[in-house]
Amino acid sequence: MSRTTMTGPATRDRATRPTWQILALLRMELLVLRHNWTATAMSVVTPLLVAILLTSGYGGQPVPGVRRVATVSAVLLTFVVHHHLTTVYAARRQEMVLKRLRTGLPGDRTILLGTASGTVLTFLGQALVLVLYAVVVLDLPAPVNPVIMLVALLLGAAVMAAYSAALSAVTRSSEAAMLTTLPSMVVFLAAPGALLPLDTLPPALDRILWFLPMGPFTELLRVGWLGRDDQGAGLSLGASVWAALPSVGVLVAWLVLGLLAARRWFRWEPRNG
Amino acid sequence: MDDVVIDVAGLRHSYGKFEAVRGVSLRIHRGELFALLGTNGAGKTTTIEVLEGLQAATAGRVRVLGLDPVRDRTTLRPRTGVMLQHGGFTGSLTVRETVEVWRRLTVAPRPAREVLALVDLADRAAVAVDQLSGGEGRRLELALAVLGRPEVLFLDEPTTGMDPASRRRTWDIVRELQRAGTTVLLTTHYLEEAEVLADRVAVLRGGHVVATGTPADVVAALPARITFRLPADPALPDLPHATRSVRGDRVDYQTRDLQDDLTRLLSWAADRQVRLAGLSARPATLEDVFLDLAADQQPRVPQQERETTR
Repeated sequence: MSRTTMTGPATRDRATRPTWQILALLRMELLVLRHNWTATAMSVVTPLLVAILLTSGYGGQPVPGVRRVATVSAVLLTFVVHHHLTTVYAARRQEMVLKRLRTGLPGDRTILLGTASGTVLTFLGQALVLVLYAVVVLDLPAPVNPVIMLVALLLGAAVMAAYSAALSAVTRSSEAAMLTTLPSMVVFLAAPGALLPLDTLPPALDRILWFLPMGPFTELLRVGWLGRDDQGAGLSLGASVWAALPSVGVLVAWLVLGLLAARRWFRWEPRNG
Repeated sequence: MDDVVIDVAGLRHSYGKFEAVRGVSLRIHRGELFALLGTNGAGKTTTIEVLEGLQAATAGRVRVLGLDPVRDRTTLRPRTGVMLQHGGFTGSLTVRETVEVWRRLTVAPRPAREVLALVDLADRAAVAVDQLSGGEGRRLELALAVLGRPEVLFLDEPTTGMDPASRRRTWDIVRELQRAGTTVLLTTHYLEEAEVLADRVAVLRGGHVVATGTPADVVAALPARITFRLPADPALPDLPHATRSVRGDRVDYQTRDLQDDLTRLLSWAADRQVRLAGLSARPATLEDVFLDLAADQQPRVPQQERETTR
């Protein structure tokens, strides 16, 4: 029987590369979606249909239309990434899949990223469809600075994923996730431009609530898409980036807090007894 | 330089205030099949999980293939295989899909068909893993553990929940792997499993190793047993190498010299014309070791002069 014995450090096999490992975990999550059409409908199709319905009345109205798409994206982000990913982390933990993964090659961060990858890709796909729908069907202007929008989507997803990991620790099942993610979803969405209206809150309250994650997230989408600020002043490319920096900074701060919380509370295996 | 594959010295591990492992030392050599025996809560799983690198030791030194399982995780993982005590599958995936996902996460994996044939699951490849029986699920776990032809294989209660046929098949597989040079550390509370498979065993109790050696050595360290039903004449003889205890109507002598004490007992019975109903005399078994060492409150106290009538 031929048996290769490795003595030195691990060979540079592709299975030891984090990107390859994340792809393997993505494949696992996509297989789960393929086998479970109820879950797929709940997490992929239904939110997208609702998002399209909620934006459908804004044909040909650039500013209100883009604001509405940003709001709907914030809702998608919280429900699809934050809520759904919390249930995914909890389910993989209860199934002991996370523990089993930890006995293998992928590092802890790779396992968390790989498990999130299916959900995050789903969200990015939904956002893309929504933008295409807005531009092609609703006749909204094409995004001026899509890179800023992509940064918003990726950073927003990362923030949501970090809090999902932290909250999965107190979530025993997908039913329980309804309860455990309710407070965080309210906090995330109670921002001007998300579920609170722009330009109508008392200015002081507006300034404070803007710091909730969906405030900078939706502002980045609006600035990136329209190429002008909320007062309507046109921004050059450089000025757009400059205007985006505070929002990016706030999201990064939320991300750092979320990662610290995940590091502190995330559980790899079910609590005994 | 040496062939010590697993080297553990003074291992301690605590969960909060509870210390599950309290100073375990083991040296396991290349190609050896070593069994950790103990009841639930004895510290077996904690010990093996520290060796697997899932938990860091609270104190003590742990080396697997000369590497630290936590610090040298990336170097060590391609060379070890792990079968956890409780499974780890996503229920809706099929057996084949599960193996294929894991093959992508393994360096130089065996072909899916080969491992599935190895664990007798070839005809179950298209079945969803949550449709597998308990024993089949365990065999799939074993298949994933050996996917990368590991040098060191950790098996945490590999045959728990298996029917006898599955259990024998698993033993055969483990023996084949050992013959191919794999070092195996397994935990079990099946004594037969340890006796059939293991080159050496360590018995754990309350986080301590209370006995270690070959199954024969561990058994030899314990007294043999003579038992019979309590006769009408209650004046039982004292045997020079034995301690006596009476439980209900059973008399139980634990003896260091079975032949000598048995001869004396039989001649005592012949002299008095006592009928020893249900007489049995046998050397210690691993089960005795297990019950004595695993359940005894004071396992290290010599049992030489202990006369108990409980």
